[in-house]
Amino acid sequence: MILLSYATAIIIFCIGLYTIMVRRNLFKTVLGLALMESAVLLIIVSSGYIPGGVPPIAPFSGQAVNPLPHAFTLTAIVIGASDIALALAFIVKLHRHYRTVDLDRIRGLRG
Amino acid sequence: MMFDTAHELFRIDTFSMVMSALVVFMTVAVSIYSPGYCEERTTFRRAVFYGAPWLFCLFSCLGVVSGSWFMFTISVELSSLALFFIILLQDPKAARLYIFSQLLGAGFLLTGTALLGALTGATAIGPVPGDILWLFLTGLGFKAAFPVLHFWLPQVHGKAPTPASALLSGFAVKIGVFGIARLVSPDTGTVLPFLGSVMAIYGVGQALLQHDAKRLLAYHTVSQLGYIVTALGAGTSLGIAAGFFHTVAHALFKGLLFLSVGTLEKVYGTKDLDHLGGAARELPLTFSLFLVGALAISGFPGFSGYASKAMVKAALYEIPNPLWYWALQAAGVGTVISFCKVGYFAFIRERDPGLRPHREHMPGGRKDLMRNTGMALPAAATLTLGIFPGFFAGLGGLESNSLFGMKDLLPAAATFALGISLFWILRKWFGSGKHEIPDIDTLISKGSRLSAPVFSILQSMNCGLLRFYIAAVVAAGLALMFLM
Amino acid sequence: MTLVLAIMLPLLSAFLIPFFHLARKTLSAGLISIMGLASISAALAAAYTGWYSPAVSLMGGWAPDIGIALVGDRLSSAFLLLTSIGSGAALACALEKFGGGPWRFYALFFLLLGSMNGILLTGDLFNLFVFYEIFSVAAYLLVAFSMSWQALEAGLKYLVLGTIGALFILLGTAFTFMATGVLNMALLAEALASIPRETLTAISACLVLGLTIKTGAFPVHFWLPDAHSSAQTAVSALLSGVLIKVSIYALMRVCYIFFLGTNGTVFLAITVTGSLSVLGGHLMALRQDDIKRLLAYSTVAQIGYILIGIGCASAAGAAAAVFHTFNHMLMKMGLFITAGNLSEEKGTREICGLTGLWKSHPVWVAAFAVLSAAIVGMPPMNGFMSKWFIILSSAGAGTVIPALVIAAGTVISAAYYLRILSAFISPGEGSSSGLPPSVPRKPRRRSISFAIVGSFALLCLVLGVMAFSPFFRECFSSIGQTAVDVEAYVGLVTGR
Repeated sequence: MILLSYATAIIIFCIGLYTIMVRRNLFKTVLGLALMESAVLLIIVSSGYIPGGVPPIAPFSGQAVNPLPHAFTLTAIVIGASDIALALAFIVKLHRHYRTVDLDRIRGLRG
Repeated sequence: MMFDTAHELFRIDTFSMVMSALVVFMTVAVSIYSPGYCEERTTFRRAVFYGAPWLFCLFSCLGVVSGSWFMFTISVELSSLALFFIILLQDPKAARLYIFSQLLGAGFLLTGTALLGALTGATAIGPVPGDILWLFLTGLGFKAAFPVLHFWLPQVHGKAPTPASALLSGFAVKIGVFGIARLVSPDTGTVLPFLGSVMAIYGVGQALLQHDAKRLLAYHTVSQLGYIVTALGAGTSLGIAAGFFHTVAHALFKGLLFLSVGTLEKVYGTKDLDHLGGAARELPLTFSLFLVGALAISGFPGFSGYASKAMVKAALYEIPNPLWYWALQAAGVGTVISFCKVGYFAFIRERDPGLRPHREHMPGGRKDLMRNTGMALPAAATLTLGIFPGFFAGLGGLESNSLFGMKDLLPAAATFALGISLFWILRKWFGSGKHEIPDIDTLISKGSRLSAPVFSILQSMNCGLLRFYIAAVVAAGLALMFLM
Repeated sequence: MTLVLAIMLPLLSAFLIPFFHLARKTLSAGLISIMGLASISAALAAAYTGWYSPAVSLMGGWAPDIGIALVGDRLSSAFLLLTSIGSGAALACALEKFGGGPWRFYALFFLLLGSMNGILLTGDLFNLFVFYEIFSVAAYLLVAFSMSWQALEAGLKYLVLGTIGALFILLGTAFTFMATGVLNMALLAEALASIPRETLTAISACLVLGLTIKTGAFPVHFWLPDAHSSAQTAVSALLSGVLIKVSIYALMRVCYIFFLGTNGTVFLAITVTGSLSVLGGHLMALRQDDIKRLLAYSTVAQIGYILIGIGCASAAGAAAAVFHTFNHMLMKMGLFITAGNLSEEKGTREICGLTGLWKSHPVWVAAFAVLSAAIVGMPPMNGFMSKWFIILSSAGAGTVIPALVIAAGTVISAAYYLRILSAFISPGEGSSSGLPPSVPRKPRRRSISFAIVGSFALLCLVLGVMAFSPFFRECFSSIGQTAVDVEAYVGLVTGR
């Protein structure tokens, strides 16, 4: 239980949430998503911490921190990376049509 | 097992047999009438015109013999669908109004049935507990034209093709009444007579102001349904039998009246009483058949309407509150006035010279023969039931002679005298232009303008702005957190 | 073994397709149909196994608390059957339209199929999240496949909103892991009973929000109309018919296993969301001019019906929801394929432009009429029967309002489907003027698509009539009972 990690994670999550709700630039929306993702992953990793634990790399002596969250985080990082890559590809293609990355202009589909 | 609720498949008793016989009879009469009326070009449309009444007959028979509310609702929905197709041939807007109102009614009935199954474990057709009664009454009220829920009836019955109107007014609304008859219990004794009397008086009042003949007949349907509902509200077996007798009688004479107005429509090309006239000379057979129907609905002794109204009033003697009896009497006077009006303006006085009768529809032609034969069947039945009401009187435990006693003949005579004299006094006023009071169906078109804000709110929510969408997601998340 | 095969075969096909493309430039349609048939048979075999004897497959032999378990019970079998039929139909339509040419499309398709089977068979919460993300990425790409600006914009919005949903699911999973230390769904069912109230609230809010975003319920449905209308015909049918249903399965599994005994307000929230979806979806559909967007809003409303069924928190509700899911797949896939083909023939997607189709394509219009009667809920079609079961189960749960909302929804949906049908049947300018068309066009033969649409329409009628038979009701009742029977699920996985 590292309080600092949790607090940081919450702050980063809120910054990410603010970014996606308020910023009009599409790149910033994508960055906000990445920030939110990182915050959640930080929470996961820090949840496995055991005070006085050593990295779970064999051979080790004493108690190791929980390796399960590390596995989840790695998987989730990969997933997040592919999502962000896809989003950026969409932005590039969309820019060719709309000539802008302003979210308030990209509203052709409505009603 | 999970979705089964206890019920028998069929419940066949005297009333079911009577209603089935009635619908078959009406459909036969309408099918004989139809070749004289139908002017559809393509085979497909003609097939719908002739075939749909029989589909309606099939589903209505299934409805009246069904043993559970669920089967009843399904059969009623399917019969409405059959009629929807015929009305679609002539007036799509009225057809849409019809099917929407019927689907809404069926929705209420389904909800009621589901709650009945959840509360009692059985959905057999019969009286229901008091707290879900409103669902059933609303659902059946859409079909049986209860006061506010009747908004579809004048427009649909007025604009449908005449054979469909005859079936609609003749039988389709009766299925709703049949459902109410199955529901009758001490709980309904308070609300049904009130609703019935309001329907009776309101229907006659609106009918007096109409100049479209079919819309006038449609309002009379509302009024006569009021008689039936009031009789059912008495709650006794005499009341139920009286309701059934009037149902059968009304189906026959209202069908007859609609068919005769349909003849006028085909011969002169209009249903407007302001322009019609003089038909008694040119269509004597039609006029005499019309007269049978008009005398029956007004309650002239010797016709079925008199016997059934006498029985209804006999049932009402048992209710302590005399208000309903006098309401029905007043409606009776109004009925006499109204049919004097139709008879006079459509048949007796001089016609608008601009109207010429169509050659192929004149007497002596094949079409006229089909129409008159089709009308003769209900007319004969009306006369038979009027002179020999024994079967129905027996159902209610009365002797048939008691219906012809002084206490019934005297009010009937008084009603006639009052009605004819009032008509003669007001004759000029009726002929002088349009005096319509708007009914609820005009509110619908206004109501659709009122609902525009809802649509514009919804439409502005789907604005295309991604940031708005994300904000909506976050708001939903916060609401969820608060809810839990 | 069959459970693993159901997931591995489609994934293998997806990975092999680029290699085949390297070898020869255009793939033959035959090769793809063989791969499709293999994947679908594997899924059906898994469904069959799961139906008669619920199966558990522990990956790598690790015990449930540290490994990943694949579970196939009756609920999974029902949904596996659904996705097999749906993806088979969509694959056939796509093959008929494109042939074997676009290899990327088929690679994505098989990736989607594999991940769908993964979601349906997994017994581990984080594994669910992983498969869900693979499924979502494939879906985003399929939506944007045609590369028109509408498809790209729809794909982008779907991606952003879907990723937010996935983030909430991940957050919920994180909280669950932090509170209990296990991620296996069966073990969690036991562990969640003993965690503090506030933690449970946070977990349930995050999970339900994330999963509801993916199913497209009303307040969070905004990606659905864009995505389902801008995609190509086969993809729209797949999206509305199959992908949404897999999201519904995930919601059902998570809510029934985790929250049935512990947090009852989850189901109240789902019922409220369902009722709002019914009203919002139908009312928005009433205003649409674009036929595919109208069908997409109709999907939102039908998802509302299914959510009302789930929200009853009873076996009857679950069974009714599954029945309606199945019916909606049949109806909506048929409707989308018909609408897509007819709008291609006419060159427009506007309803007022789709006139005169009764003369030129009468059988398509007849099939559309049957399917719309089913989706509106006219007896004796299957849509009416599943609507009746949902009303019955919500009455059994004691509420009247969802049933009345469904009744109102019937009338509104009748209004807009009648509008479409009257547009189809009305004569239109081209035929009434009698002039020959300016550009003579060879009518496209779409016999396979029509065979699919016709058989779906027929199935609607057959299922509606069969719903009266006790055998059929027994089947769906058992699915419902399996869905809510948490102890049986736990016992199945842990062997107790």
